[in-house]
Amino acid sequence: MNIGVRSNLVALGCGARLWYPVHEAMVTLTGSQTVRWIKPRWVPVAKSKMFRIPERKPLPLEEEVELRCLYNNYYMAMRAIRRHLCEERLRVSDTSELAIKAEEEQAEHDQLMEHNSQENLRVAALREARIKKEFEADLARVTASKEKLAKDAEKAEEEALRIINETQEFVKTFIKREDFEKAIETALANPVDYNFAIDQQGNIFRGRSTRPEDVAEEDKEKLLFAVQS
Amino acid sequence: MPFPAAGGARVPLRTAKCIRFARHGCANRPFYHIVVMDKKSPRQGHVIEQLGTWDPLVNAHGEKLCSINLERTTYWISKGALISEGCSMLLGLAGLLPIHPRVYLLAWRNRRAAAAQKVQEKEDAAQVEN
Repeated sequence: MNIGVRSNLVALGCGARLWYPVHEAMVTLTGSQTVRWIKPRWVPVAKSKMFRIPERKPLPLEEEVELRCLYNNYYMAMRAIRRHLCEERLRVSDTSELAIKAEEEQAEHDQLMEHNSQENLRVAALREARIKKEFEADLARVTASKEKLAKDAEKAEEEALRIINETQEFVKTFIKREDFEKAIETALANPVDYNFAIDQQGNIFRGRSTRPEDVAEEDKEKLLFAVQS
Repeated sequence: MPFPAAGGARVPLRTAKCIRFARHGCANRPFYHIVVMDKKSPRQGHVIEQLGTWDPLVNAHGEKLCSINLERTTYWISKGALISEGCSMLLGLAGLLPIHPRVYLLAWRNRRAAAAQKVQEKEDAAQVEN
């Protein structure tokens, strides 16, 4: 027994005479110890079992006879089968049966190859058609996008021109430096009152201090959209 | 470098070959390859050729699955390979060889046990009634 393994030894229950090594993996450190109680190879037969001969259970006589018969038949059949298989193997390997088979196989192979090439051609035609279709679709898409881009550019140019024209129109209303004093004087002379009031009938009264009595009936300004009450 | 489990070992001349099981499972989960090996090589020794598989545990559908390459098996039998008892029982049940006598013996024993159990149950029922 190896002395170095002693630290892992666990006593067996038979009077502490025998010591069995326990594999390290089997000793868990979580408290509950698991031990694999397998008798090692070097431990001899127990003294109490040393000269014990296990009894053979006798078969019933008729069963024994039957079994012997069965075994005889079985071995005979096996011999016959073995011989038959051997003969079959020799027959198949020696005669030209295999060659014939090979020829047939070659013919089948050729046929299959022919079929394969036909299939390849068919698939190639389909593929070409598909690629052509895809190319045309691409071309159409590119032309459409080009047209759209041109249209967009034209629209943008028109918009820009419109903005320029409008701005030029607007520039004409600007007050010039020589007219500056005059414009100030005009503005001071004509004050504009933006205040107004609305009555329940939808009449508008312009001005901060206008009174409803001062406005004539025919001069009254109406709201464009009367609020529904 | 060990040989693969599917075979590849040297085929020695004029030695006994044997069709038998090589265990490829783990603890409490047996799984076997049906292989051709040299008769004297150990159970997990180098395999000349793998002929099939045998899963002795029933699967979810209650089946024990077994696969055998019949062509190669017949070839090896014709070449004179011995067949281990377990393998010959399996091949017999598979229909390639005649049924092995051990199968009959097991069937007798099982039937006898079933009959005895039936009688026991009947007696128990009678006792409960009394």
